[in-house]
Amino acid sequence: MSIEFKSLCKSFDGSRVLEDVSLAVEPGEVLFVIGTSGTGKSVLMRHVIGLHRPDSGEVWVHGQRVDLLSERELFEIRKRCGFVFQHPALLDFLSLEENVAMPLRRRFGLGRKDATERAVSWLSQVGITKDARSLPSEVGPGIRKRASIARVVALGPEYIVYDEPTTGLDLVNARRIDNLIRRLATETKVTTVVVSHDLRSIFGIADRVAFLYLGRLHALGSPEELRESNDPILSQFLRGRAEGPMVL
Amino acid sequence: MTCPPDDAGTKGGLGDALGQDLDASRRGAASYQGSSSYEDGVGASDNLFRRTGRVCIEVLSELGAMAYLAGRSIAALFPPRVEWQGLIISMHRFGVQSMPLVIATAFLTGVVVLLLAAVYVRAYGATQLVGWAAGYATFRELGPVLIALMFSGRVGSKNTAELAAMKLTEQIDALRALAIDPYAYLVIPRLVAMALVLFALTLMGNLFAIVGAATTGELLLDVSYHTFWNSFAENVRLADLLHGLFKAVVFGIAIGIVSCRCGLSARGGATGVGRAVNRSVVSSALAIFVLDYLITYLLP
Amino acid sequence: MNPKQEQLGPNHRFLAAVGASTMAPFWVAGAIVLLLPRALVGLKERGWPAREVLRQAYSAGNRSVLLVAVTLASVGMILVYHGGLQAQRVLGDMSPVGPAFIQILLREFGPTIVGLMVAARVGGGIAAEIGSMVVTEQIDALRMNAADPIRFLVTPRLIAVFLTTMALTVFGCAVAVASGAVTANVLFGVPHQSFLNLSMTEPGDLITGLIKAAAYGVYVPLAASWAGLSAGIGSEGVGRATTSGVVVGSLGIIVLSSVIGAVTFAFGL
Repeated sequence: MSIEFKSLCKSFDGSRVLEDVSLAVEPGEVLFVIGTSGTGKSVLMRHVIGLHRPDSGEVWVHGQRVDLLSERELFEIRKRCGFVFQHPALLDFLSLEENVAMPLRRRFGLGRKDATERAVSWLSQVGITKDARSLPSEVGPGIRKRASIARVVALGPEYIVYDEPTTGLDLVNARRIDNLIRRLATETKVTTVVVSHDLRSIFGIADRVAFLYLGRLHALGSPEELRESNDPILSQFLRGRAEGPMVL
Repeated sequence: MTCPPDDAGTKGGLGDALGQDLDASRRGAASYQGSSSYEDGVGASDNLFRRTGRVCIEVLSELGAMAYLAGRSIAALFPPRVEWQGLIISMHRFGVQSMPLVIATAFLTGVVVLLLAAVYVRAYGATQLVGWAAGYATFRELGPVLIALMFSGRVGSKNTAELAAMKLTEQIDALRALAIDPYAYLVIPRLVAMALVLFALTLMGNLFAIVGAATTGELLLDVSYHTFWNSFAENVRLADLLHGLFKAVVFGIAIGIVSCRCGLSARGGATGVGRAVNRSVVSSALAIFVLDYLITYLLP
Repeated sequence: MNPKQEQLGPNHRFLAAVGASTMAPFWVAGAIVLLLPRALVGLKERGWPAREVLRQAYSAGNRSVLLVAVTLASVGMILVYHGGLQAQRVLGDMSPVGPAFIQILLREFGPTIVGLMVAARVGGGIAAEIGSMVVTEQIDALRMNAADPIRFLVTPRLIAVFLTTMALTVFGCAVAVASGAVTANVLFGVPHQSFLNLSMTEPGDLITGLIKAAAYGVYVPLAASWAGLSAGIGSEGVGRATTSGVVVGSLGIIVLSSVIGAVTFAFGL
């Protein structure tokens, strides 16, 4: 039981964003979804927890067809499947600590003290100690982002989707996040999908990589396979060259 | 109005983003398109019939969306779970935000009412009716309506702005992604808080309005406090006060529904927030007047 | 607020805060009033921006005509309903309902309710529009091109909203009288001839009403422009500007209404 997309299509205001994307995530693996900006990676991921619904095609998560569920039924899926947004999306009227603690309290009925303790320990795992009591607006974007990761992993989901978790972080913290993602996947068998541009993360922790290009799945394989591939578009992307066959 | 492609999420149909069922999504999309061309106003291919039709569709779809929001909020009450923290924080904020404004408005309302009565006092010398007229008019109509209008301008629109900003920064989606119902967590405490706070404010405002009226009478009309008070105490009934307070509760809920709905359906960056706030104030004003008429007419 | 407050003791700081928040409305009122000459100077230098005025007046009228119609119709029905009930109870004579209603409508409720609606719809719209121009730095771009934002943005809106408010007041009063006449006829059986009667309306009432409408017509666009121009940063800034445009606009209307009412009363109008 895992996450699977079956020939998914989605368009917004008449413009096609995703076209016939089929992709299955293996249980317990770390799958990276890469591609240029605006190619529909985030949109694809938002389908997993029912924030978007496909125009056609199917989305399966944990043995259930997500695209047909009602908002209420989706809550069961969302309890199993965490989602880290590209922009941190922390509640701006709660401190970082409360942002992590609030879902814990609501979800598991924890008391304020227990929830705060857990929140503090998860925040320190993503490298936040002294800012835990600040409001999101009082800290930098990197800290907000790490707090939003802590908010999701603290709930102990079976699946986690990360939307660009290391974008905008310094190298040290980016590697820390990579290690956290890898550790969760290895130790607790969390099935993980990561949307990313970060080549170091890709070649550091990915089990498999899916390359989206113009709304379609262009290539799929292990990082090594992709690196050695002769596909001109893929190699232009992985080498980050301005000239090449890629259409934007 | 063009969004960068990565913003596709915020572009993707209102219902999709609020994401409940497909019907709601269609409805939302229709309402958005209707409203945007309505806002722009100066369309070349506009004729009267098209406009009228579009306005009707827009009004109906807005009403539908608001009924939907109310329904979702009620559904989110089961299993019952009171968000005490959110409720108390909201009540405190709403109250603090609008208290000085309400006091000023209420006081001036009293002044205005008495100035209207003044014309009759001067013409017919009917000083013994002044207290009653001021009490009756402010308790039943002017107090609740004007205070609610001010409340919607201050609190309702601020609420819309906040929710709109939360919507545009994906905080609402983040709540949903955490399996927390935004209706239970954000909307219900605000609805309840608005009803309670507006009730309290109207009660307090009535007092200030009477003070304003009595003071104006004393200073401008030579109606002594004593005369005013006698006329007031003998003729104004408890039913008048309760009638107005009932209206205040209804207005509070209406302002809550309208302002939450406008905030949650915001789109399109900073401009979108401004537009949502504007819509919220206007729809609240409409709702207040229409409900006021209905309650006045249906409730003795 | 003030860096000097840091040096004050707690009691003084409290007093300073009270003083600052007491003074705030006066500062705002002053800033709004000061916009008026700056907007009018634009007229003298550049002549009438007729095209822009027409465009703004069209959109302002267009946006609020429906709102004014609905609210004033409801005001007409409510006032006549109350008036009728009291006349039935106290006087037993329905003939003064129409004249008294028309007098009160022209003197107070017509202009003021229309003004409040214009403040919400048009004022809020102007604050949102100018506010988002400030936030997206379009105002700075105007300045870079040596265009005075006040002349460019405020002057045409001032004239347009003034004209629109006057027209809407006339329209709104007509709607209210019509709905009042229908209500009186249906609920209390008052014939239209005796309802539509100006016997209690004096020139003073009309003049008071017109002064009010004119004052709101000048005040609302200035208040809204002020709110828009002092917008902060980001989408929150626009939201706050819109809110303050509406609040400052409607509170100002109520203040103006009571002040003008008191002054005209004192002059015996």
